[in-house]
Amino acid sequence: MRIALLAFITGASLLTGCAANLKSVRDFADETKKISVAFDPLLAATVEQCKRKVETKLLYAGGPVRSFKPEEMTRTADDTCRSIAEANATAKKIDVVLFDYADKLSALAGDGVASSVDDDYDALSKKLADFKEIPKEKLTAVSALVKFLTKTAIAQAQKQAVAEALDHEEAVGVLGDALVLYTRRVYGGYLVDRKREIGTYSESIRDAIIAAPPLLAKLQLIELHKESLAITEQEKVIPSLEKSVAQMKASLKDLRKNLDRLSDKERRQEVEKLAKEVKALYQQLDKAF
Amino acid sequence: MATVLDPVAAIFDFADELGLLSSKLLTCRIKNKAKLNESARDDLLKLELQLDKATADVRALGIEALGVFTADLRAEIIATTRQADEFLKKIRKVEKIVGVSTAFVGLALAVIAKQPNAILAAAKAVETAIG
Repeated sequence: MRIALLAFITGASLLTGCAANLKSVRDFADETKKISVAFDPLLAATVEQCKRKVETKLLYAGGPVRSFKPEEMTRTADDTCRSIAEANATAKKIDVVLFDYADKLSALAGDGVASSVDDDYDALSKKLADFKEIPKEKLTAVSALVKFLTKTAIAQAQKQAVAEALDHEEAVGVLGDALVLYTRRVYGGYLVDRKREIGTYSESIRDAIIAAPPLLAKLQLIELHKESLAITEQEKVIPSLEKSVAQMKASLKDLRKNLDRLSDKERRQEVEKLAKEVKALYQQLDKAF
Repeated sequence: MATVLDPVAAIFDFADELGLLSSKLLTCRIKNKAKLNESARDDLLKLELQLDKATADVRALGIEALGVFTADLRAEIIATTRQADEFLKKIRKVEKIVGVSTAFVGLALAVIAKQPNAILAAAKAVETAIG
Protein backbone atom coordinates (compact mmCIF):
# COMPACT_ATOMS: atom_id res chain seq x y z
CA MET A 1 0.00 0.00 0.00
CA ARG A 2 2.75 2.39 1.03
CA ILE A 3 4.83 1.58 -2.04
CA ALA A 4 1.80 2.15 -4.28
CA LEU A 5 1.19 5.47 -2.63
CA LEU A 6 4.80 6.60 -3.02
CA ALA A 7 4.78 5.46 -6.64
CA PHE A 8 1.63 7.52 -7.24
CA ILE A 9 3.20 10.61 -5.69
CA THR A 10 6.41 10.24 -7.70
CA GLY A 11 4.47 9.69 -10.90
CA ALA A 12 2.19 12.62 -10.29
CA SER A 13 5.18 14.81 -9.47
CA LEU A 14 6.75 13.99 -12.81
CA LEU A 15 3.49 14.57 -14.68
CA THR A 16 2.70 17.95 -13.16
CA GLY A 17 6.27 19.18 -13.07
CA CYS A 18 5.79 20.03 -9.40
CA ALA A 19 5.88 23.74 -8.46
CA ALA A 20 5.89 26.29 -11.28
CA ASN A 21 9.07 28.28 -11.89
CA LEU A 22 7.73 31.80 -12.24
CA LYS A 23 10.93 33.74 -11.61
CA SER A 24 10.72 35.55 -14.96
CA VAL A 25 7.17 36.70 -14.18
CA ARG A 26 8.23 37.78 -10.71
CA ASP A 27 11.23 39.71 -12.02
CA PHE A 28 9.08 41.30 -14.72
CA ALA A 29 6.61 42.44 -12.06
CA ASP A 30 9.36 43.80 -9.82
CA GLU A 31 10.92 45.79 -12.68
CA THR A 32 7.48 47.16 -13.59
CA LYS A 33 7.07 48.30 -9.99
CA LYS A 34 10.39 50.13 -10.28
CA ILE A 35 9.15 51.99 -13.40
CA SER A 36 6.10 53.09 -11.48
CA VAL A 37 8.25 54.29 -8.56
CA ALA A 38 10.56 56.14 -10.97
CA PHE A 39 7.61 58.05 -12.44
CA ASP A 40 6.53 59.47 -9.08
CA PRO A 41 9.19 62.23 -8.66
CA LEU A 42 8.38 63.54 -12.14
CA LEU A 43 5.00 64.76 -10.89
CA ALA A 44 6.52 67.13 -8.33
CA ALA A 45 9.31 68.07 -10.75
CA THR A 46 6.71 69.18 -13.32
CA VAL A 47 5.02 71.54 -10.86
CA GLU A 48 8.45 72.79 -9.79
CA GLN A 49 9.45 73.56 -13.41
CA CYS A 50 6.12 75.32 -14.00
CA LYS A 51 6.72 77.55 -10.97
CA ARG A 52 10.36 78.19 -11.86
CA LYS A 53 9.28 79.39 -15.31
CA VAL A 54 7.05 82.08 -13.77
CA GLU A 55 9.52 83.03 -11.04
CA THR A 56 12.44 83.33 -13.48
CA LYS A 57 10.32 85.55 -15.71
CA LEU A 58 9.39 87.86 -12.82
CA LEU A 59 13.00 87.97 -11.60
CA TYR A 60 14.77 88.59 -14.91
CA ALA A 61 12.07 90.35 -16.89
CA GLY A 62 9.43 91.46 -14.41
CA GLY A 63 8.43 95.01 -13.59
CA PRO A 64 10.68 97.66 -12.01
CA VAL A 65 12.51 96.85 -8.74
CA ARG A 66 10.42 99.37 -6.78
CA SER A 67 7.26 97.33 -7.44
CA PHE A 68 8.87 93.89 -6.95
CA LYS A 69 7.26 91.87 -4.15
CA PRO A 70 8.74 88.43 -3.40
CA GLU A 71 5.51 87.11 -1.83
CA GLU A 72 3.57 88.20 -4.93
CA MET A 73 6.05 86.34 -7.15
CA THR A 74 5.51 83.12 -5.15
CA ARG A 75 1.73 83.62 -5.19
CA THR A 76 1.66 84.18 -8.97
CA ALA A 77 3.76 81.04 -9.51
CA ASP A 78 1.48 79.00 -7.22
CA ASP A 79 -1.69 80.30 -8.91
CA THR A 80 -0.31 79.63 -12.39
CA CYS A 81 0.64 76.04 -11.60
CA ARG A 82 -2.22 75.06 -9.28
CA SER A 83 -4.18 73.33 -12.06
CA ILE A 84 -1.17 71.12 -12.88
CA ALA A 85 -0.64 70.28 -9.20
CA GLU A 86 -4.31 69.28 -8.89
CA ALA A 87 -4.43 67.31 -12.14
CA ASN A 88 -1.33 65.40 -11.02
CA ALA A 89 -3.63 63.42 -8.71
CA THR A 90 -5.07 61.83 -11.87
CA ALA A 91 -1.62 60.93 -13.21
CA LYS A 92 -0.76 59.53 -9.80
CA LYS A 93 -3.87 57.30 -9.91
CA ILE A 94 -2.69 55.78 -13.21
CA ASP A 95 0.73 55.18 -11.68
CA VAL A 96 -0.74 53.61 -8.54
CA VAL A 97 -2.91 51.20 -10.56
CA LEU A 98 0.17 50.04 -12.49
CA PHE A 99 2.15 49.64 -9.26
CA ASP A 100 -0.60 47.66 -7.50
CA TYR A 101 -0.97 45.38 -10.53
CA ALA A 102 2.77 44.69 -10.62
CA ASP A 103 2.85 44.23 -6.85
CA LYS A 104 0.11 41.59 -6.91
CA LEU A 105 1.60 39.88 -9.97
CA SER A 106 4.89 39.62 -8.09
CA ALA A 107 3.09 38.09 -5.07
CA LEU A 108 1.18 35.68 -7.34
CA ALA A 109 4.40 34.50 -8.95
CA GLY A 110 6.11 34.19 -5.58
CA ASP A 111 8.16 31.06 -4.91
CA GLY A 112 6.48 30.53 -1.58
CA VAL A 113 2.88 30.41 -2.85
CA ALA A 114 2.68 26.68 -3.63
CA SER A 115 5.03 25.61 -0.84
CA SER A 116 3.50 27.91 1.78
CA VAL A 117 1.45 25.08 3.26
CA ASP A 118 4.48 22.76 3.63
CA ASP A 119 5.48 23.91 7.09
CA ASP A 120 1.89 23.79 8.32
CA TYR A 121 1.47 20.21 7.07
CA ASP A 122 4.76 19.20 8.64
CA ALA A 123 3.60 20.59 11.98
CA LEU A 124 0.29 18.73 11.62
CA SER A 125 2.06 15.43 10.75
CA LYS A 126 4.32 15.83 13.76
CA LYS A 127 1.35 16.30 16.06
CA LEU A 128 -0.53 13.36 14.51
CA ALA A 129 2.54 11.16 15.02
CA ASP A 130 2.00 11.55 18.76
CA PHE A 131 -1.16 9.42 18.44
CA LYS A 132 0.22 5.98 19.21
CA GLU A 133 -2.87 4.35 17.64
CA ILE A 134 -2.05 5.58 14.14
CA PRO A 135 0.55 3.40 12.37
CA LYS A 136 3.58 5.57 11.64
CA GLU A 137 4.23 4.38 8.07
CA LYS A 138 0.60 4.99 7.04
CA LEU A 139 0.61 8.41 8.65
CA THR A 140 3.76 9.48 6.80
CA ALA A 141 2.43 8.29 3.46
CA VAL A 142 -1.00 9.88 3.91
CA SER A 143 0.49 13.16 5.12
CA ALA A 144 2.84 13.25 2.15
CA LEU A 145 -0.03 12.55 -0.24
CA VAL A 146 -2.29 15.26 1.23
CA LYS A 147 0.61 17.73 1.21
CA PHE A 148 1.48 16.88 -2.35
CA LEU A 149 -2.09 17.13 -3.60
CA THR A 150 -2.60 20.49 -1.91
CA LYS A 151 0.68 21.78 -3.29
CA THR A 152 -0.13 20.57 -6.80
CA ALA A 153 -3.59 22.09 -6.69
CA ILE A 154 -2.17 25.40 -5.49
CA ALA A 155 0.59 25.35 -8.13
CA GLN A 156 -2.00 24.79 -10.87
CA ALA A 157 -4.22 27.54 -9.53
CA GLN A 158 -1.18 29.78 -9.20
CA LYS A 159 -0.26 29.24 -12.86
CA GLN A 160 -3.85 29.96 -13.84
CA ALA A 161 -3.94 33.15 -11.74
CA VAL A 162 -0.65 34.35 -13.25
CA ALA A 163 -1.95 33.62 -16.77
CA GLU A 164 -5.10 35.62 -16.06
CA ALA A 165 -3.08 38.56 -14.73
CA LEU A 166 -0.79 38.54 -17.77
CA ASP A 167 -3.84 38.46 -20.02
CA HIS A 168 -4.37 42.21 -19.52
CA GLU A 169 -1.39 43.06 -21.71
CA GLU A 170 -3.18 45.76 -23.69
CA ALA A 171 -4.54 47.61 -20.65
CA VAL A 172 -1.18 47.51 -18.88
CA GLY A 173 0.47 48.75 -22.09
CA VAL A 174 -1.88 51.75 -22.36
CA LEU A 175 -1.28 52.68 -18.70
CA GLY A 176 2.46 52.59 -19.42
CA ASP A 177 1.88 54.74 -22.53
CA ALA A 178 -0.09 57.24 -20.43
CA LEU A 179 2.87 57.64 -18.06
CA VAL A 180 5.17 58.13 -21.05
CA LEU A 181 2.81 60.70 -22.59
CA TYR A 182 2.73 62.67 -19.34
CA THR A 183 6.51 62.53 -19.07
CA ARG A 184 7.11 63.59 -22.66
CA ARG A 185 4.41 66.24 -23.01
CA VAL A 186 3.85 67.76 -19.54
CA TYR A 187 7.16 67.25 -17.71
CA GLY A 188 9.08 67.50 -21.01
CA GLY A 189 6.91 70.41 -22.18
CA TYR A 190 8.02 72.54 -19.24
CA LEU A 191 11.66 71.59 -19.72
CA VAL A 192 11.45 72.75 -23.36
CA ASP A 193 9.71 76.00 -22.33
CA ARG A 194 12.28 76.72 -19.66
CA LYS A 195 15.32 75.98 -21.82
CA ARG A 196 13.99 78.27 -24.53
CA GLU A 197 13.40 81.13 -22.10
CA ILE A 198 16.73 80.64 -20.31
CA GLY A 199 18.30 81.15 -23.76
CA THR A 200 16.38 84.42 -24.13
CA TYR A 201 17.47 85.69 -20.68
CA SER A 202 21.13 84.73 -21.24
CA GLU A 203 21.21 86.45 -24.62
CA SER A 204 19.57 89.58 -23.19
CA ILE A 205 22.04 89.77 -20.30
CA ARG A 206 24.98 89.45 -22.74
CA ASP A 207 23.49 92.18 -24.94
CA ALA A 208 22.90 94.32 -21.85
CA ILE A 209 19.19 94.55 -22.62
CA ILE A 210 18.57 93.16 -19.14
CA ALA A 211 20.57 95.77 -17.26
CA ALA A 212 22.95 94.63 -14.51
CA PRO A 213 26.44 95.59 -13.28
CA PRO A 214 29.15 93.41 -14.97
CA LEU A 215 29.82 91.18 -11.96
CA LEU A 216 26.12 90.59 -11.33
CA ALA A 217 25.53 89.94 -15.04
CA LYS A 218 28.27 87.28 -15.02
CA LEU A 219 26.85 85.66 -11.89
CA GLN A 220 23.41 85.59 -13.50
CA LEU A 221 24.88 83.97 -16.62
CA ILE A 222 26.56 81.31 -14.45
CA GLU A 223 23.28 80.68 -12.66
CA LEU A 224 21.34 80.34 -15.92
CA HIS A 225 24.04 78.07 -17.36
CA LYS A 226 23.78 75.78 -14.32
CA GLU A 227 20.00 75.67 -14.68
CA SER A 228 20.34 74.84 -18.35
CA LEU A 229 22.74 71.96 -17.57
CA ALA A 230 20.37 70.63 -14.90
CA ILE A 231 17.47 70.76 -17.36
CA THR A 232 19.55 68.83 -19.94
CA GLU A 233 20.04 66.03 -17.38
CA GLN A 234 16.33 66.09 -16.52
CA GLU A 235 15.44 65.86 -20.20
CA LYS A 236 17.47 62.63 -20.50
CA VAL A 237 15.03 60.96 -18.10
CA ILE A 238 12.35 61.10 -20.84
CA PRO A 239 13.92 58.73 -23.43
CA SER A 240 15.07 56.51 -20.59
CA LEU A 241 11.52 56.14 -19.26
CA GLU A 242 10.22 55.63 -22.81
CA LYS A 243 12.70 52.78 -23.38
CA SER A 244 11.81 51.17 -20.04
CA VAL A 245 8.07 51.24 -20.79
CA ALA A 246 8.64 49.97 -24.36
CA GLN A 247 10.67 47.04 -22.99
CA MET A 248 8.09 46.45 -20.26
CA LYS A 249 5.46 46.04 -22.98
CA ALA A 250 7.74 43.77 -25.03
CA SER A 251 8.52 41.58 -22.00
CA LEU A 252 4.84 41.31 -21.08
CA LYS A 253 3.98 40.32 -24.65
CA ASP A 254 6.71 37.67 -24.57
CA LEU A 255 5.55 36.22 -21.23
CA ARG A 256 1.92 36.13 -22.31
CA LYS A 257 2.80 34.45 -25.61
CA ASN A 258 4.82 31.76 -23.85
CA LEU A 259 2.75 30.78 -20.83
CA ASP A 260 3.84 27.15 -21.17
CA ARG A 261 7.49 28.07 -21.34
CA LEU A 262 7.78 30.65 -18.58
CA SER A 263 10.94 29.11 -17.16
CA ASP A 264 12.78 29.06 -20.51
CA LYS A 265 16.06 30.91 -20.99
CA GLU A 266 14.46 33.21 -23.60
CA ARG A 267 11.98 34.56 -21.03
CA ARG A 268 14.81 35.33 -18.65
CA GLN A 269 16.73 37.11 -21.39
CA GLU A 270 13.72 39.25 -22.27
CA VAL A 271 13.19 40.25 -18.64
CA GLU A 272 16.93 40.92 -18.26
CA LYS A 273 16.61 43.46 -21.09
CA LEU A 274 13.91 45.17 -19.05
CA ALA A 275 16.08 45.15 -15.92
CA LYS A 276 18.89 46.77 -17.96
CA GLU A 277 16.62 49.60 -19.17
CA VAL A 278 15.23 50.19 -15.69
CA LYS A 279 18.75 50.31 -14.26
CA ALA A 280 19.68 52.96 -16.85
CA LEU A 281 16.52 54.89 -15.93
CA TYR A 282 17.48 54.95 -12.25
CA GLN A 283 21.05 56.02 -13.09
CA GLN A 284 19.63 58.93 -15.10
CA LEU A 285 17.22 59.83 -12.29
CA ASP A 286 20.19 59.98 -9.91
CA LYS A 287 21.96 62.41 -12.24
CA ALA A 288 18.85 64.51 -12.82
CA PHE A 289 17.62 64.98 -9.24
CA MET B 1 0.16 53.33 -34.72
CA ALA B 2 -3.03 55.01 -33.50
CA THR B 3 -3.82 54.60 -29.81
CA VAL B 4 -6.66 55.62 -27.49
CA LEU B 5 -4.39 58.36 -26.17
CA ASP B 6 -4.02 60.21 -29.51
CA PRO B 7 -6.69 62.87 -28.69
CA VAL B 8 -4.72 63.71 -25.54
CA ALA B 9 -1.61 64.35 -27.62
CA ALA B 10 -3.62 66.96 -29.57
CA ILE B 11 -4.44 68.76 -26.28
CA PHE B 12 -0.76 68.81 -25.37
CA ASP B 13 0.07 70.17 -28.86
CA PHE B 14 -2.24 73.12 -28.17
CA ALA B 15 -0.63 73.72 -24.75
CA ASP B 16 2.82 73.74 -26.39
CA GLU B 17 1.60 76.39 -28.85
CA LEU B 18 0.42 78.57 -25.96
CA GLY B 19 3.78 78.11 -24.20
CA LEU B 20 5.62 79.02 -27.39
CA LEU B 21 3.47 82.11 -27.85
CA SER B 22 4.29 83.23 -24.28
CA SER B 23 8.02 82.77 -24.98
CA LYS B 24 7.73 84.76 -28.23
CA LEU B 25 5.99 87.59 -26.41
CA LEU B 26 8.72 87.53 -23.75
CA THR B 27 11.44 87.83 -26.40
CA CYS B 28 9.51 90.59 -28.15
CA ARG B 29 9.02 92.51 -24.88
CA ILE B 30 12.69 92.22 -23.88
CA LYS B 31 14.08 93.09 -27.34
CA ASN B 32 11.76 96.11 -27.65
CA LYS B 33 12.19 97.27 -24.07
CA ALA B 34 13.55 100.64 -25.11
CA LYS B 35 10.69 101.30 -27.53
CA LEU B 36 7.90 100.39 -25.08
CA ASN B 37 6.71 102.59 -22.24
CA GLU B 38 6.30 101.10 -18.73
CA SER B 39 2.57 100.66 -19.09
CA ALA B 40 2.90 98.75 -22.39
CA ARG B 41 5.65 96.57 -20.91
CA ASP B 42 3.41 95.85 -17.93
CA ASP B 43 0.48 94.95 -20.19
CA LEU B 44 2.66 92.58 -22.19
CA LEU B 45 3.97 90.95 -19.00
CA LYS B 46 0.38 90.43 -17.82
CA LEU B 47 -0.50 88.88 -21.16
CA GLU B 48 2.49 86.51 -20.92
CA LEU B 49 1.45 85.48 -17.42
CA GLN B 50 -2.08 84.81 -18.67
CA LEU B 51 -0.62 82.67 -21.45
CA ASP B 52 1.54 80.84 -18.90
CA LYS B 53 -1.58 80.12 -16.83
CA ALA B 54 -3.45 79.01 -19.97
CA THR B 55 -0.52 76.71 -20.86
CA ALA B 56 -0.69 75.14 -17.39
CA ASP B 57 -4.49 74.85 -17.52
CA VAL B 58 -4.49 73.16 -20.94
CA ARG B 59 -1.72 70.78 -19.84
CA ALA B 60 -3.82 70.03 -16.75
CA LEU B 61 -6.77 69.33 -19.06
CA GLY B 62 -4.55 66.93 -20.96
CA ILE B 63 -3.68 65.12 -17.73
CA GLU B 64 -7.38 64.89 -16.82
CA ALA B 65 -8.05 63.55 -20.32
CA LEU B 66 -5.42 60.85 -19.68
CA GLY B 67 -7.54 59.90 -16.68
CA VAL B 68 -10.72 59.78 -18.77
CA PHE B 69 -9.21 57.76 -21.62
CA THR B 70 -7.64 55.23 -19.26
CA ALA B 71 -10.64 54.97 -16.88
CA ASP B 72 -11.99 51.69 -18.30
CA LEU B 73 -8.55 50.15 -18.54
CA ARG B 74 -7.75 51.18 -14.97
CA ALA B 75 -11.00 49.58 -13.83
CA GLU B 76 -10.00 46.41 -15.71
CA ILE B 77 -6.60 46.32 -14.01
CA ILE B 78 -8.07 47.09 -10.58
CA ALA B 79 -10.44 44.11 -11.03
CA THR B 80 -7.50 41.89 -12.00
CA THR B 81 -5.54 43.07 -8.96
CA ARG B 82 -8.53 42.24 -6.74
CA GLN B 83 -8.78 38.77 -8.28
CA ALA B 84 -5.11 38.19 -7.54
CA ASP B 85 -5.69 39.35 -4.00
CA GLU B 86 -8.60 36.91 -3.62
CA PHE B 87 -6.40 34.07 -4.83
CA LEU B 88 -3.69 34.93 -2.31
CA LYS B 89 -6.33 35.10 0.43
CA LYS B 90 -7.55 31.60 -0.51
CA ILE B 91 -4.01 30.28 -0.10
CA ARG B 92 -3.82 31.87 3.31
CA LYS B 93 -7.14 30.19 4.12
CA VAL B 94 -5.65 26.76 3.31
CA GLU B 95 -2.72 27.61 5.57
CA LYS B 96 -5.15 28.63 8.28
CA ILE B 97 -7.22 25.45 8.01
CA VAL B 98 -4.12 23.32 8.39
CA GLY B 99 -3.01 25.51 11.29
CA VAL B 100 -6.40 25.14 13.05
CA SER B 101 -6.35 21.34 12.50
CA THR B 102 -2.88 21.19 14.03
CA ALA B 103 -4.07 23.15 17.06
CA PHE B 104 -7.09 20.84 17.52
CA VAL B 105 -4.88 17.76 17.31
CA GLY B 106 -2.70 19.30 20.01
CA LEU B 107 -5.79 19.83 22.17
CA ALA B 108 -6.99 16.25 21.61
CA LEU B 109 -3.58 14.91 22.63
CA ALA B 110 -3.60 17.00 25.80
CA VAL B 111 -7.14 15.76 26.68
CA ILE B 112 -6.14 12.12 26.09
CA ALA B 113 -3.06 12.60 28.26
CA LYS B 114 -5.30 14.24 30.91
CA GLN B 115 -2.85 17.09 31.58
CA PRO B 116 -4.82 20.18 32.75
CA ASN B 117 -2.02 22.67 32.06
CA ALA B 118 -1.39 21.23 28.60
CA ILE B 119 -5.15 21.32 27.88
CA LEU B 120 -5.25 24.99 28.83
CA ALA B 121 -2.24 25.80 26.62
CA ALA B 122 -3.64 23.74 23.73
CA ALA B 123 -7.03 25.47 24.03
CA LYS B 124 -5.28 28.82 23.81
CA ALA B 125 -3.39 27.61 20.73
CA VAL B 126 -6.74 26.68 19.13
CA GLU B 127 -8.11 30.13 19.94
CA THR B 128 -5.04 31.78 18.39
CA ALA B 129 -5.22 29.59 15.26
CA ILE B 130 -8.90 30.39 14.75
CA GLY B 131 -8.46 34.08 15.40
